[in-house]
Amino acid sequence: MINKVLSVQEYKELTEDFRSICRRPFSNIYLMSDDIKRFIELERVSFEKSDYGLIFYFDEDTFYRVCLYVDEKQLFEIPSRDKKLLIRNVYRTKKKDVKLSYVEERLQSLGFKQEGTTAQIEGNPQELIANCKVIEQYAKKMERKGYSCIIPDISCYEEIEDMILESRVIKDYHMTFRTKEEKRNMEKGSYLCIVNEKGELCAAIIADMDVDIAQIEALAVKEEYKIRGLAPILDYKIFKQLCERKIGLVQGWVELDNDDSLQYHMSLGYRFAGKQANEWILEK
Amino acid sequence: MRETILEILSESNAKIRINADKNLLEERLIDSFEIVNIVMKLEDAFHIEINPELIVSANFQTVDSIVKLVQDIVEKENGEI
Repeated sequence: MINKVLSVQEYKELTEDFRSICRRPFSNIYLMSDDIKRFIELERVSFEKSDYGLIFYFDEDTFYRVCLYVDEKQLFEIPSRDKKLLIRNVYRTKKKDVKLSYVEERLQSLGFKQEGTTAQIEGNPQELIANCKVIEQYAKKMERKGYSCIIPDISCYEEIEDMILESRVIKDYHMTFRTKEEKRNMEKGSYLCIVNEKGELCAAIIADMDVDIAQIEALAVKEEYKIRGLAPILDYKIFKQLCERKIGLVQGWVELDNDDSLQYHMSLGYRFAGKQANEWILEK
Repeated sequence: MRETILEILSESNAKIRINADKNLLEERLIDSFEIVNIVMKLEDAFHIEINPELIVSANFQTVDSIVKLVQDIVEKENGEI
């Protein structure tokens, strides 16, 4: 039976209760406590409790992000639901543990398909910007030719998100769910885009900026504007903002089989952060 | 001109010199960040301006296509003087 998590307190009690039965459960709850709190307050977290543990469902609108808190040695069940299910198992690159292997074996037998593996990359915005000095000049050149980098109005966010999804640089379940209110409250400059002289959208980036860390959530360039150096301009503009805000770390996730993206980010000066994530999907 | 261009490309990726006949994009010898570097250096070296509309994969696929691009711009700009 699936129930809604009504409060952070209830969430804590649920996990503590299960820990009293199973001392070291397998957990892939990699969400930060603020994110968990946020989802609970939005009434978007539900759970299923059984002898083998807890299955949490974070409703991301187009899919459920499923987090496990289970005894991995038991044959836990995860039935399909009205939306696609995503399970993201994050692990240290050189340390995929035995518990995770048990869980992934079970996921496979439950019908989940491994869609891919992403690697975390990171960099210091000041170091990245030092490596990208030439882009400042290039951005000015492109601006003279009609390609302007702007902070879009919130009314353009949907068009930007659609363009990002259409470009297939990220999968639909990589797009972070936010309510309109949350989007409105995001730091100014979290969405940046490049438009041509006709005002048409050519490229865009979304970055979630916290006090001391930023996450690049998506960066996409429309097919007809690829190779034109618009992606480096957007990255450069974000790095500049992060430096101004004294944010010391920028992170992102890149699909391991996306050689172009990996090479591009390494050229910019990013490094691997030592974490990977296997993504498992169960269609509805 | 070809040698200067090869020099500029090699500064971005030393492997380009020994792979000069290969498709630079398909072989991932250059990416969009490298293209920014290359465009700026070509503009400096040949005192030209490369229009954004010319920064397309067809013009950056091979060393020869880059040489042709620069040649065409140089000729056009000289013709305009």
